[in-house]
Amino acid sequence: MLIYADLRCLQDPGFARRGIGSHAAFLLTAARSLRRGAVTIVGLADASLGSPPTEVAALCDRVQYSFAPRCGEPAVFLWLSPMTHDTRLVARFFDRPEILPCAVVYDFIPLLDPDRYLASRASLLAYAAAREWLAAARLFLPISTAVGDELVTRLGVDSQSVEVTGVALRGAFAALQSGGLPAPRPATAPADYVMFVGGPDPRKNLETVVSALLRAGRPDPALVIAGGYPDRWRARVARTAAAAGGRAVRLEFLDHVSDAELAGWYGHAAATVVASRAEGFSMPVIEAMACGSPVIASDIPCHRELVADPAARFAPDAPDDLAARLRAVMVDARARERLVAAQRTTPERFTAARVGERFAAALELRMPGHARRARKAVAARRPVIALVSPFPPDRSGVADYTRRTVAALSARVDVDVWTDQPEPVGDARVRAFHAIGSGAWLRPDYDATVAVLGNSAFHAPILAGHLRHGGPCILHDSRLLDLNAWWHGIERTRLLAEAELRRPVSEAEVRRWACHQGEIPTLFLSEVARSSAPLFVHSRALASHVARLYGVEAVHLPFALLREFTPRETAAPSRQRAREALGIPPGRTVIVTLGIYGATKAPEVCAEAIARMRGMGRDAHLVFVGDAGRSAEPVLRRAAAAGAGGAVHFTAEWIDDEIWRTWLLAADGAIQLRTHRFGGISGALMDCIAAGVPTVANEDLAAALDAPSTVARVGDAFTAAEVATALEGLLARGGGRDEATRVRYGAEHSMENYVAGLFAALGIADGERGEAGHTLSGCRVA
Amino acid sequence: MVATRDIGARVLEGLRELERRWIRPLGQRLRPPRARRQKARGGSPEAEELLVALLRARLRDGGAAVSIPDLPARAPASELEALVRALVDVPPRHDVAAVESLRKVA
Repeated sequence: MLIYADLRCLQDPGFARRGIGSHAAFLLTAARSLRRGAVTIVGLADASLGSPPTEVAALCDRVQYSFAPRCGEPAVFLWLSPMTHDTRLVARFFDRPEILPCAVVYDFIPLLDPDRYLASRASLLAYAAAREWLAAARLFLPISTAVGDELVTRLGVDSQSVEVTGVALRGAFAALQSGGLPAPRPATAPADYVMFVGGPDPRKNLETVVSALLRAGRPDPALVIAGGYPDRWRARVARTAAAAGGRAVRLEFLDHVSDAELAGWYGHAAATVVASRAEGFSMPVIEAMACGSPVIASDIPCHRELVADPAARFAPDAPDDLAARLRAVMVDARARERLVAAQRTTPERFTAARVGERFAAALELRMPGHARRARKAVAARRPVIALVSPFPPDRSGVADYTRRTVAALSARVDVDVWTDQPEPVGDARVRAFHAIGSGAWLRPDYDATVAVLGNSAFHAPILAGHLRHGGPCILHDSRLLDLNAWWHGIERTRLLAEAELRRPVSEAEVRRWACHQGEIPTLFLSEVARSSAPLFVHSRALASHVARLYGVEAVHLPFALLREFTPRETAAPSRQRAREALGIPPGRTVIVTLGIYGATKAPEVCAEAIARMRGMGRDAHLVFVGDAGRSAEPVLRRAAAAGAGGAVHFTAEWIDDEIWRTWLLAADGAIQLRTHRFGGISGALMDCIAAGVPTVANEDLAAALDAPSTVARVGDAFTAAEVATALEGLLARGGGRDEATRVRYGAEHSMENYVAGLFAALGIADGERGEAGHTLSGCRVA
Repeated sequence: MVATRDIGARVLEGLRELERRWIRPLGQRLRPPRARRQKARGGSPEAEELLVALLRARLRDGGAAVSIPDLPARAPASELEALVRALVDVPPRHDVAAVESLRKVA
């Protein structure tokens, strides 16, 4: 059984140490011991709340910082605290046939006193939103029958979908319940006192207890109060205690008592009073009973379940009523003993075993039927995927690649594209285009929303949405320094670097890395790696860097051909026509380097290598294809100094696809270099391989693409001499292109294989190639 | 103790504000340049929470997400408007609306 558990109430200190956190942790523990088959628990954490406590993470098989379920796999979504945190994150676990949303329900107290609990517009809207989502759950686990009844009346849910679990006694009280030694009397305990456990909330009704005690007729009434009351509150209660009729109630407020200490206070009290005006469940009632204290409780629905004897209940706003009940147990020892004996068995319904059994039974009863129906529904539908990506005419290689990906995906799934390109090129294979926004992650009809990330400014809104919502992510670049610096600014990027490197980092360092990316000591991927489930990378090297630096297992999805060439196109006559079209004179050796000009591509080394080839008597020319050379002055100077001043050329910027292909056919060779060495890939090198262009690339880049023998490799600390020598070696093989190698590589790196790998890792069954989740030829887990 | 209807009224008041401020103006704004659109992102997270919850609930019930006819096909002016549009655009899907209710069968 696969269980996704929302851990936010256990991450958030405001809830983790309260009743909600305690019950949530208990249920998570109970989920571990479900009997029916193996249980896998995926903890869903919100990065903005920090890491879950170690003991909570230990209850999960893994913790995932994205609220995204795996497609098609029957699972339970265990919503441990529906009313307390941002409901947008859970949207992807609803309205999917494979997910059974299961909500733990504590109470509806805010609805009883909205002026107090929902006073701000924000809290009101958030609560209303949570209520809407709660109504959409399909299994409800209220902590009491009273809350279960409220679910039916307030939300109109089917009573058959409600299973009351109760709340388990914590260890110290459970031990006493099962016959452990009574806790010792606290040293500071008054001779005769009434115990009250509440909290700084008028709903707990402390003032009524104080008033009642004044009227109970005891000579020296004392009230011991636990529950973290602040000083101002204590002073106010003390004034109430002193103001009535000349007698005063002696008040003793306890600070931070342990469960063991609290058991002593309960166990030696004349009685315990629980006076709340509203509760979902009442831990003090069963704790006190377990410790042998008689309990007098307010007459509210959840107390009626726990305190069966009407004589032990009082109207919450009637201190005289409570005073009479107190007198009965404090004056008459036998009546007190009878009440203790009658209440002694109540906590037995709330041992960890009993509560765990009720929880397990609720899930185990429903899971087989749910799994059956889910598989049927999933198999019957055509999946829908949303890609959040740049899209042509955005001038981005990622945009082109996404368009190719869509073409292959659309054979088996419907695809929506979310892009900030205001006029995306028409594509019949795209079901619909949308402007990037949170809707991409919040719509109910997507089996997966895949963020496509690269290192350019095009990806800024994608990064923001992905970091908030998380889910599958295709990462095109091996580092995100530029994107982070552009989107978050240098300071935030510096902080990110400090977190990744665990050392102080100066702003100057970040600025230097931005200009010299070969020197970066980290990849600025920690946030993306954490938010991605799964993270797709295009090279084995990057997958191992991500594992080493961030402890995240990325899926290696080998990069696919972006452009394909037929054997007729790459044959000599076609290539000759390409040279003529570009005006290349006979006898000239044209070496291309493709893509947007940048320091990371070592343009000076390329130019100097050409100069060296010319020095050896070859009429070699270097063409920067796809860049107009507006920032190329240093390269031109170096080329001139090396004697190749007239042999370095630039095309127009961002040339169209046809001219790009023509250069790939016309070229005698190519140079594609990268100064950074983290397994980054290059669409331009892939094009060179696709066209069979003899190419020189540095080792890291060539390995990232599993480059074939048409690519000669130079070391990552390459020199112009090495590049020139390698190029000469390739040219010495003759003018033809290695068709067999080119075609074989193309088949292995087809977009169809790429998409099959994507489907497998997303969990979308591929009818033709294999079952979902199985490793396919094109997809390997690092 | 405040009656449930009071909280209901307050929620409805919040909803009316949402309708007035975000849903009704849909399509009434000129298309902004991309930069302005990006700047407009953000707003009240709780309002967005409720808006998403309500629109998803209406979709779940099998109806159109909002009753505004003929949403014009032009770019939204804010993130919230884009969100409404995205959820309105969701086509009906049989397996979402027709999920069998779970009963104690085993």
